[in-house]
Amino acid sequence: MILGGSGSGKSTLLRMIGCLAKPDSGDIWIDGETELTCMPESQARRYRRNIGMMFQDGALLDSMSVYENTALPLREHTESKEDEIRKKVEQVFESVGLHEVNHLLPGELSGGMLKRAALARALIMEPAILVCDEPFSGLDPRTVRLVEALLMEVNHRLGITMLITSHEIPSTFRMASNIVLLMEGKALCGTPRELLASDDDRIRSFFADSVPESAFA
Amino acid sequence: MTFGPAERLGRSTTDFVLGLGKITLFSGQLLKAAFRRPFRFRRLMDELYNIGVLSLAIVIVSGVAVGMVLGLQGYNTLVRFGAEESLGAVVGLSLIRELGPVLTALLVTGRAGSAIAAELGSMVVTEQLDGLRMLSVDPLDFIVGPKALAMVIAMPLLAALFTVLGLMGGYLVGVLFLGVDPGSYLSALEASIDFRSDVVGSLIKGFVFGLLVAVISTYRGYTADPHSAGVSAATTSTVVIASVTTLIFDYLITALWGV
Repeated sequence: MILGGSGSGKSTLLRMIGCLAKPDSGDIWIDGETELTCMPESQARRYRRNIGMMFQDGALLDSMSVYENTALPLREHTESKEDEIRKKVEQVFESVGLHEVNHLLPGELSGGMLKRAALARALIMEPAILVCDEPFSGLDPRTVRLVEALLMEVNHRLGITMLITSHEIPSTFRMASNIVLLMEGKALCGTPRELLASDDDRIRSFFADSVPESAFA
Repeated sequence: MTFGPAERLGRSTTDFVLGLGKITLFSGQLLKAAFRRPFRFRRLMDELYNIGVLSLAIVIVSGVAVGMVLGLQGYNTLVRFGAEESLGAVVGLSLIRELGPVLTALLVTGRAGSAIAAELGSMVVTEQLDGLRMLSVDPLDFIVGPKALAMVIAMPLLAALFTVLGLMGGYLVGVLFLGVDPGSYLSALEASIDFRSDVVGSLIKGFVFGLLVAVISTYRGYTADPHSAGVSAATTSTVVIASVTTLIFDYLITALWGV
């Protein structure tokens, strides 16, 4: 999980991983083989097929129904017939807990439903990596727990790598196997346990308001 | 840091040339996207409806109104010289050569061009275009291309409709209200209009203006800054730039090809 305050560069980092933005300097390598920064758009399009991205506000096309939005990648990149597409979309809707939303427009969904619809679209092509930009933003605490449980369930069921940006510290500690903390232009990395055990004052002060003093080693 | 007049002039000139280069590159990408397979017939039909059909009301009302004003003003001028029988020629030449395509372009810019820029700008703000990119779908191909192509197709057709309704408006006022002989009106109209230079020229102007409005409105929307003021700026600049460019190109086409 990628943690950091507002303006620390969490979303920008995800956009660079999605090849939607280029860094001012430096390179980005995936698996030590694929260099993203110089990738032409045609190659980037092939690369993005392995990544499912759940945007902060859904980013679903607001002129198309939730069903059409989710079916779009299948229509664009596969030879699937209409009934196969319908079956696949219904399966994904079921797996993220979306019911009877086929004909609704994204603007007609609640915040939690919109996150689920965005997740369904991100998962429809069975990506190798799922990237979620602030999946808990704008949600009430109960819905935060629901979305959190949903992401954990997807992670366990599909076994895919997930990269999540958040400023929700409690959720991060419940979910993360590794944390990247963006502070003052630097990335401080470690497991939740390692970060809590750190004697770096910057890390301790970042977590101070959200984590009880007893949690620090 | 402050700049003197020379630096400001230099900066504005390089910005202008840079902008021109960017819009030219964008036009090339758009052209490529418009002919890329699969051909998005359904999306093109939707956009033709949005741009063409939904502009019909404004074009019909304006066409008739402009024709009626031309008929009235033309009659009042011609009657002084005893030449009111030439009313058909005056109304016809004015509408077919100039007013039909130019006014249609201005009206469609205000109604559909601004809507295209606002819609694309909102899609930038809400990351819908980035969402498409992450699905490996090119927004130029899927969203922008059909809008631009529909504008290019709809504009000459709307201009032709505007012109025909304007001729009927002129006929209504001249013949029915002011008593010009219907035969004289129609024969003066027929005698003064050359199909190749006037009618085809009018359609060419409509096509060129459609191309201009399509490129300007889609470019401004697609490159809008990702905030609400950016959408507003994109919409306003679309209307201003497309209107001024239409008038400049109207002069150039008329001066260079005599259309």
